[in-house]
Amino acid sequence: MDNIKIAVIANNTEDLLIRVTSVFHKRGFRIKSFVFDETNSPDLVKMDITAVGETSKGEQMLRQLTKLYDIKEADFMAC
Amino acid sequence: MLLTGSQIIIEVLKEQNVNTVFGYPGGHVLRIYNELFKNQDTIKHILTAHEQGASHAADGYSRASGNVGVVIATSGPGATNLVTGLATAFADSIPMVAITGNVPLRLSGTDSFQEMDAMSLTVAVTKHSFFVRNVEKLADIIRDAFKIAISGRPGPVLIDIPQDVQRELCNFNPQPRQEKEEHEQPQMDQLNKAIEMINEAKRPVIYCGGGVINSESADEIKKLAEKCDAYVIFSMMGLSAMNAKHPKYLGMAGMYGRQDASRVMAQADLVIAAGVRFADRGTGNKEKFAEKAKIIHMDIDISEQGKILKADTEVTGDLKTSLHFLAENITKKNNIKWSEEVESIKEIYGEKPADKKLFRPKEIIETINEILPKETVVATDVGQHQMWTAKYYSFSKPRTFLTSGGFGTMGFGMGAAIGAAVATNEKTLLITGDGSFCMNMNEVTTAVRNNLPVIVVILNNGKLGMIKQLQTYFYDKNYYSIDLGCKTDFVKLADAFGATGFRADNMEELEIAMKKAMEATGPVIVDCTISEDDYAIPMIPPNGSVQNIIT
Repeated sequence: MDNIKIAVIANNTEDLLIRVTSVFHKRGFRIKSFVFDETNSPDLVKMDITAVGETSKGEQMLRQLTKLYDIKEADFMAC
Repeated sequence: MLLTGSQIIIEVLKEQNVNTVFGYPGGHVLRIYNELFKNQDTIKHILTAHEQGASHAADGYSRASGNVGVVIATSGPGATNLVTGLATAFADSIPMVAITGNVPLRLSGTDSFQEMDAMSLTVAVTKHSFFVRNVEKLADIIRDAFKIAISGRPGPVLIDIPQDVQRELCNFNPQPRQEKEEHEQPQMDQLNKAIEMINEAKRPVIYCGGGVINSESADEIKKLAEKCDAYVIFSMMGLSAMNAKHPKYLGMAGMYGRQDASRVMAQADLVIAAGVRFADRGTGNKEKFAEKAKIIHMDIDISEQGKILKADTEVTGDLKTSLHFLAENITKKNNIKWSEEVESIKEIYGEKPADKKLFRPKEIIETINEILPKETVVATDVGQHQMWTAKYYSFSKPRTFLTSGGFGTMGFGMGAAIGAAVATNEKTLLITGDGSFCMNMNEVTTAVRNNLPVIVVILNNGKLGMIKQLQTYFYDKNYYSIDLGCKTDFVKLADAFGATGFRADNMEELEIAMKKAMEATGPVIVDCTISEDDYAIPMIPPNGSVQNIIT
């Protein structure tokens, strides 16, 4: 069990958080820190998420996260 | 053009060439139904007995036709009743659009009558879901829903539309029909690596999943198999992608698959996996799956790459393009030794020929297969009958086998068969068990009302057969909660529903019943009594491999 940190740019929708957190839940990651902020574009938000879980599943979770309709970009950050 | 929200819904449906919707009216979709009433010449609405049946019907319609299935339900219980149908379509990547009504925005979030947050409810069971707050956005949201449903890896999308949004006026500009988003093209270096691996392989198999049917790549699979002289093995969702009479066809592998197919997979030196996601039922113990083989994994969905197995080459992108490119560019091969080895595995472990004196599931299914036209669409429910159908029915073209592969939804079949019969207007077969049939047999009323040519064959053993089988092998024969103790006379029940019923207790009666069913108009139910001791074996235990197969 280790920390992973993911940075996300996504559409600014009211249902975004449910969708994002459900992917973490599905792959067994517990969110430790969640920073959510607006961007220069009113349509986009950014999120920095730190979570703990099986790091071997992290890559797969990132792919599942990226697949969500509202996610524009998602990638790992150095922990 | 100034239109109300509900008029916009109908106009966009027409724009997307929708001519059939399945559904069930309720308070918060009555405005939509009022517009459906005015447009009944262009959009046919099939009323079902229950929203779950409507969702399975829209799903079956899509599986049989390749078009988007559309279902409409009211708020609250209407929306919750759709959930199983959406989850079924999601697990099998079936394009569907579900439209639900909801309470007016002023009541939203107040726990008002029949209120349910359908958008949140369906996050886990759809590709995407929308809640429409503003009529200005309605038309584009519906268009997006269709685009999402058909693009990339297909799936269901839900649009929840409050009653006042359906009422409000808005300017409407017609648009052309939504096309699929351009698919990601596979990368050349991945394809070249795959070509190299195929050219080097001496014992290749193609492992074919539902993605082959979704991407309409059946011809490419055949060409590839013939050119590299590979045998073709299927997941349950991939069955029907190749004519079962083809000499390279090996049928379904895995937990309830054909033993020879699983054994051939174990001996292969290369698995060319096409549109298949190595789901646990097909793969078993992933460490032991095709352990002598290198794997090429081709899929449109990158999140399937490496999810279960780490492939030696991942080809992400449009499957049809990848398969076409491979078939064009590999070297023509003739793997004589491998073919001899496979034929000898088939000889030893293949299915024994039917014994028509016996009235067993295998003989029943093969007999039905002989009587019905070869391109008949076959739906199933979930359980032993599903595995027997997957194993013993010879499918001849894509979209003729409709089954809940990923989600395993008992009660799927009746709705799915209705949807397929509506889509094809041809005789449609449902092979079901007494347990599954009893889950959603209310939909026989839908088939009767619409005079649909659905032939339901119930393999009736009075038990939850698959549960009995699992309790036999894994729970010390502690049989519990499997005896349906059902005194229902399905022939009389058919009559009571306004359908036609036959009983078949032996092969001769079955042949007569099926021939009469072919001549009948409207739905027919054929009740076949089978032994409760017929099991869907050979069976590979969960997380097992062909080495611990139960025969």
